[in-house]
Amino acid sequence: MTALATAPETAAPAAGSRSRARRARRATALRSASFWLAAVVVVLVLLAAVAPGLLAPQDPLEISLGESFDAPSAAHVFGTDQSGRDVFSRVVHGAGQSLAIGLGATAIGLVGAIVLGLLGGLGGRLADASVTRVIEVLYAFPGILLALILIAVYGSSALTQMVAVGVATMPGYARMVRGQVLAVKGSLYVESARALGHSPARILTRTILPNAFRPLTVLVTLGVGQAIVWAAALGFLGMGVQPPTAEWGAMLNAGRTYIQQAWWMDFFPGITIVVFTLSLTVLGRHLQRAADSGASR
Amino acid sequence: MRPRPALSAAAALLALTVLAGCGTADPSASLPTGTKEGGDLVYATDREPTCLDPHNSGDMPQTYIARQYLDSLVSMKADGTVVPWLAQSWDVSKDGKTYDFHLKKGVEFTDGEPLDADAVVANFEQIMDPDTQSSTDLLYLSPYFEKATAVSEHTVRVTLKRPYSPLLTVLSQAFFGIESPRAMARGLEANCAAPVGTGPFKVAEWKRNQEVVLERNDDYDSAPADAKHQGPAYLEKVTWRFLKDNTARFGALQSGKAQAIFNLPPESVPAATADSRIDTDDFVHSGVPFALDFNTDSPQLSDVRVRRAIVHAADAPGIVESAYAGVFPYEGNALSSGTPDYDESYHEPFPYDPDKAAKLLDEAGWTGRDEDGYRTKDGKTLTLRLPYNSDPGETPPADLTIFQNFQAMEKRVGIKVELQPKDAASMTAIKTDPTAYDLQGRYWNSPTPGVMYIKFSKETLDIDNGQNVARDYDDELDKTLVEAAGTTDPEKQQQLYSTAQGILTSQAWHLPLYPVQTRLATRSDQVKDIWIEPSEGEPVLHDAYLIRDGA
Amino acid sequence: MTAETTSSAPATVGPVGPVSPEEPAQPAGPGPAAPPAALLARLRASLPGRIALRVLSALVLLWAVATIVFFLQHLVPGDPALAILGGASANPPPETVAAVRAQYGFDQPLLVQYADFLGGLVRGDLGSSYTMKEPVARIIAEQIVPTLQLTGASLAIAWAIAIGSTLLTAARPGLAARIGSGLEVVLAALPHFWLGVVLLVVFAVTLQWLPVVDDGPAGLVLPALTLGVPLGGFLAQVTRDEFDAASRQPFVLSALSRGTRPGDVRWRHVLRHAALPGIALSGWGLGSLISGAVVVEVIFSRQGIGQVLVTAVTSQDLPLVIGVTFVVALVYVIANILTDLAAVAVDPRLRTSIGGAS
Repeated sequence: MTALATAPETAAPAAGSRSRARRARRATALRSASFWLAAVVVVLVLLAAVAPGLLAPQDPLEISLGESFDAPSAAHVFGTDQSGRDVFSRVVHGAGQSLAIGLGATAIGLVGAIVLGLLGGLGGRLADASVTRVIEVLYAFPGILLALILIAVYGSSALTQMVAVGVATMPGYARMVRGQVLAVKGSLYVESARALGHSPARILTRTILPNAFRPLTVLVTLGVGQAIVWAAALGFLGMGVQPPTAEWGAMLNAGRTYIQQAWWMDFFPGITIVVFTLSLTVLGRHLQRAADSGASR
Repeated sequence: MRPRPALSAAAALLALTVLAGCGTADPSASLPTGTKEGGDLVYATDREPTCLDPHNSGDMPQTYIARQYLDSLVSMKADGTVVPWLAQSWDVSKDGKTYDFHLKKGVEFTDGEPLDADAVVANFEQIMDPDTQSSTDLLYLSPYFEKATAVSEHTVRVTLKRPYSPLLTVLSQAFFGIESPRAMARGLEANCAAPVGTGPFKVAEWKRNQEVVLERNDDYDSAPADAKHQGPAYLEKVTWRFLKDNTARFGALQSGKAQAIFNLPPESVPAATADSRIDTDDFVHSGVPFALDFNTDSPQLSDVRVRRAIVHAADAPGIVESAYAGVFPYEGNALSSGTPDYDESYHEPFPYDPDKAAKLLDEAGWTGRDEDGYRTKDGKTLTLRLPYNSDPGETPPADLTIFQNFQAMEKRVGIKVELQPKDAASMTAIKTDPTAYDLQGRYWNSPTPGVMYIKFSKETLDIDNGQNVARDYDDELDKTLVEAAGTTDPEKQQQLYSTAQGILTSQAWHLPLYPVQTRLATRSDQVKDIWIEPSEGEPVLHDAYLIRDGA
Repeated sequence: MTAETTSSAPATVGPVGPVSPEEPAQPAGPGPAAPPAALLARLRASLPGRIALRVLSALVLLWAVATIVFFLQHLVPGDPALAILGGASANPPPETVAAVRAQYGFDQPLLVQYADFLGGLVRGDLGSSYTMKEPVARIIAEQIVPTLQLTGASLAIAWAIAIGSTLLTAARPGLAARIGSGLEVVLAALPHFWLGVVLLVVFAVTLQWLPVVDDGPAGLVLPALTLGVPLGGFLAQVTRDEFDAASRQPFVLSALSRGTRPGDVRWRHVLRHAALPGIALSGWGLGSLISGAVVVEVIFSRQGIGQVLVTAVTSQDLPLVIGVTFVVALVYVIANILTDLAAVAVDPRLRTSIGGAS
């Protein structure tokens, strides 16, 4: 599945072209700059999730009735909300819950996908056919639609939000796991392991699973970002964590009401999500590149 | 599938959208001059009714729109007096139990049915019929109503089980608008979609989630005595649009896409005041203000000291000020200031006093503390569940802010308030399940102080329909209110209703917060003479006309 | 090595934006089931046969979708009759609740309700909305037009961005390509809820260039941009990679050596080639646009099934939720069949591969 060999640039040696070498160097520098920037962002968000008090000492729930809708200032760098709460503190304290929902959803999506994918990839023909069907059916609900149905059934809550996003991401992962398992199963090294007389269980755990899941790690990096965005979208629609809890999606929902008079209430949680998911994407692509070049050697 | 057409199509589309956006249509552009006649009005409102027949259910959006196509028997003026409408006159028997309404002659419903005594009787019967699924109308009528009969072609007799002095004001609400018997006979579903009345407009189309189109009733000649003009409405068409989103609704007014919006969002009031083209009209509803009702069936709330402590700890004026940006006033009485016989001495009975709250809680035995700092008694944390409808149309953002502010204020004295967002079905279930809530945010718009009886009487508690949210009653209060309903002497009424407000205050069955308001914002450069009638704050479009050159 | 990939299966190693996990691994979309007999093979051999197979499998798919949503509906805790009677001041007496149960058939056995539901689907009857008390099919018929307008305009904008960015910066030396591809990554990462709010505040509230809410074409600009820009970033990434690869193909060299101008080569030959995977992904793109329309319609208070869906979900109006998702699934499945057929029509090489299990 990894179409590595078709890139002619690597095949055609850049013989004696100095400008090309310089360009490549510059590109590498750019890339590593973006890598470090992304890494810093991700570390900061993780820190906020684990120890929010270090970054924002203020209580995210403490109201101050006289200070509603204060614009960003030195005292409140991200401004205050309708109850006079500090938006910066809420963004920082919200990282934990938002991240937990994103990771939880990804975990749910992955577990479901791995069960489905292994069943399809390793089970018999009938199993594969039914798994393919199930994936197709799930695919017929594009984007957050599947999540919306689940919320309609079970009502809005952080748990539903997480499960709903997880289930919505599942078909994508499942299709990949299945394809990956099939590809690895038919590969030469599995053939050779079989020829060496290794037991099927050993082939599965030592050969197929590691090789099938390696590309998945990259996808998970990207997938967590996707899950956070979807969860935030549901939160934005008021279908997630409920106020006054500090959580990015819930903050977006609250800010939407006051968008004309207090733009900062939506802008800052939003840009935090954008920068964070973008950083995850950059990191993911670096990992991917590393994995690819490792695989091609 | 070649890229070129796709690209040029995109370019063409962009060009088209940009060009088309340049001019907004002026609604008065093609109107005849020298008259108020003609034109279309777009009226944007927040909530969409579930049914256009206001006899069904009985929620505020129903009465607002029903006023445009239904006439009532009588009309109420701001001073509380009642003037003729479909009923030209009426006689009340000495014992106050029989009302004879003499109907206007020659009035027809817009489906051609005549308005006669039989038609009015059919309305009362439809209201009382369980299939109509009425709520509000039944609460007003069922304790008193016995029957309605046609005495002659144009005289209806309403017979009561016991005297009910607020009856006329009650009937002035569009909730009791008179509908065509033939239309009602179609069944609830059809009647919900397009009820038929004698009013200045008729329902032409209901595009769900979008708008109701109202067309002028050209034969209209039954305006109430307090209307600004008799005869048909000036507007040819009214588009009653639903824009739930506050930003969008105010934006529609600013851009002139709507000439009037209902419920100017509190957060947009400064912008509206600054805009010289925008006029605002505030109407403070009479009735019971928006309040947090305390469920006295909950063990922690059965103690009046705890209830009073909650009120003392809340800083209710501050909470309202923060949530409603100073647009809504605070009201701490069981009645809103606009209600007849409102007693101002109960305006702020339990002022913000956290120390007093703490003392009361100590006295009540809530002296322990759990690891989060909340008060405990016998190892149980002082927790209050506050379920609310998670639909932002039902719980507007400002109310949600109120709940959050309340929660934070109570936390300071060690009371744990749990906000519980619920879907509509659960909320409906909660209303009749006293074990499912400790607090509920509720209000009751009503033209009469008699609403206190609907909300706090033993009779309502016994019906067990969830309207007595506090789930308590006071014999003295019941006696006082029944007596008030039985007398027509204004002085006696005032004295009795004042006593009732005093009893309610001392019971502290609820934390009143703000009087519900109708905030109409209009484009003063485009439309004139929309007014708000006082019984339920219904906007009246019958007299409205579009401004044009030479008019 | 610097080449990202040239695979036409972007899901595994392609330029994955944050949208990655839901991309189809093969642009072909849902394919027919495992072949049980030679009959299938014969059917596949002819184009009409293949279309018939696709339609048949789509019908099976829709039946499965309908079944899932139907049974999901019955997992709802609480009494649907109360949801129907709900409303701020509603206090239905027990006899009213019973009447509603009978009216909607909740008192029937589940299988009877299921049969009724499927029968209704075949007749185009999606049941009645709990909150609006109107046939779901009619509500959707009214509301789907503005949504399709929005998604159509967004798709056009997305393609304009993809093609523009590719033509201007792809396979060019120097920083241009880097900036171009970097920008695409950023665009693809912009969530609708944030982009929409920013556009609204800047262009409608502050600058007042465009209306905050408007039914006309002017009101379409900001929503369509909100929806189209991120997809444009994504499509641009796919197209760029394909473009990079295609511009190194021998036919480019030969065209250049025949004296064709480089601009023409980029436009006529390379781009045509490069647009193929993007076109194949447009069916998927439409699905993601409809999903995004839910958020965008809420931000801009636009009419449409997205707005209807959000209201229906918050009020737990399940017939409406189910009706909308079913119709979206239907649109999505049809779009995927059409893009498959279009891809086959454009690229004959696909004729042998479509429908073959990978």
